[in-house]
Amino acid sequence: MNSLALYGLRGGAGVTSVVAALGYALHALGQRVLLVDLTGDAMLGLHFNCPVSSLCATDGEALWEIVPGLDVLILGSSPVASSEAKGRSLAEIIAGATAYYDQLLVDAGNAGRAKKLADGMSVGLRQIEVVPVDAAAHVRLYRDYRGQLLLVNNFAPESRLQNDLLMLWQHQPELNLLPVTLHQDEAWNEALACKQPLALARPQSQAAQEIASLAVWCMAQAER
Amino acid sequence: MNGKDRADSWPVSDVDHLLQEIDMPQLDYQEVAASQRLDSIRQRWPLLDEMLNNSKLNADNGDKA
Repeated sequence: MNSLALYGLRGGAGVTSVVAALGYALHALGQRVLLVDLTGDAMLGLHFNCPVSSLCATDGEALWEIVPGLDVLILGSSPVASSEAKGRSLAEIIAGATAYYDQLLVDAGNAGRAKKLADGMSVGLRQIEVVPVDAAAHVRLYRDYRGQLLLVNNFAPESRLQNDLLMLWQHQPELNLLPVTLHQDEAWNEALACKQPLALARPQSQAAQEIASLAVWCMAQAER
Repeated sequence: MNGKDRADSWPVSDVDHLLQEIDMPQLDYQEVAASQRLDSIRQRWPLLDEMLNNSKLNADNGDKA
């Protein structure tokens, strides 16, 4: 089983949307996928038409079977649920899920939680930091980078600054940039507004094509 | 002989002639070294330059970017 924990370099980086879209794309490629929401606000289910009311009422754990082979697990939407408790729960879940899933995607929310999870896991959990292309991200990246994989998100090619930033990062060999860059695309917003994953709501969008490429990359990692 | 071999075997002058026949504009480009481009980026954005100078990423191998 390929296990990935995604988190944002800062809030609003688009992690939950990427996890939802990537999970759906992997399922479309025939993978059995488990998505786990550790963020505490339980937004992940909204991308799969789960009702807002039921997500808000979820205090402990909730498992949603979206379609056979694609499940969404919400671990504690209550803000008082501690990260450590979630970490223990996730370790147990992963131990049991290995036989049932090909891909595990965790929406870890922030770097601290992702690191704690990875440290507490017996199986390898690769961490992917979702990075917006702006000056503040550049500062944080060059100040705090610790070798994690980087997924550039919401890239606007018409911006001179963003083009310059991306070129700098691509020429910094120490930064582990993923081979796929996700461009700014209104399809992301529209998909959430439709309560559907990206490839279902806007299958012809550039974003959907890029997520499909990322899904292929994930499958290649699983085969290594 | 396939299409690629045939194209490779064409004399350059014939290709130029063909381009003229179909009224293809002459394309030109200026080669810009990556280091040159990176230097101009650093001059344009002082914060980016400062972070590159002070980052631990560049501590071991000098100022690469």
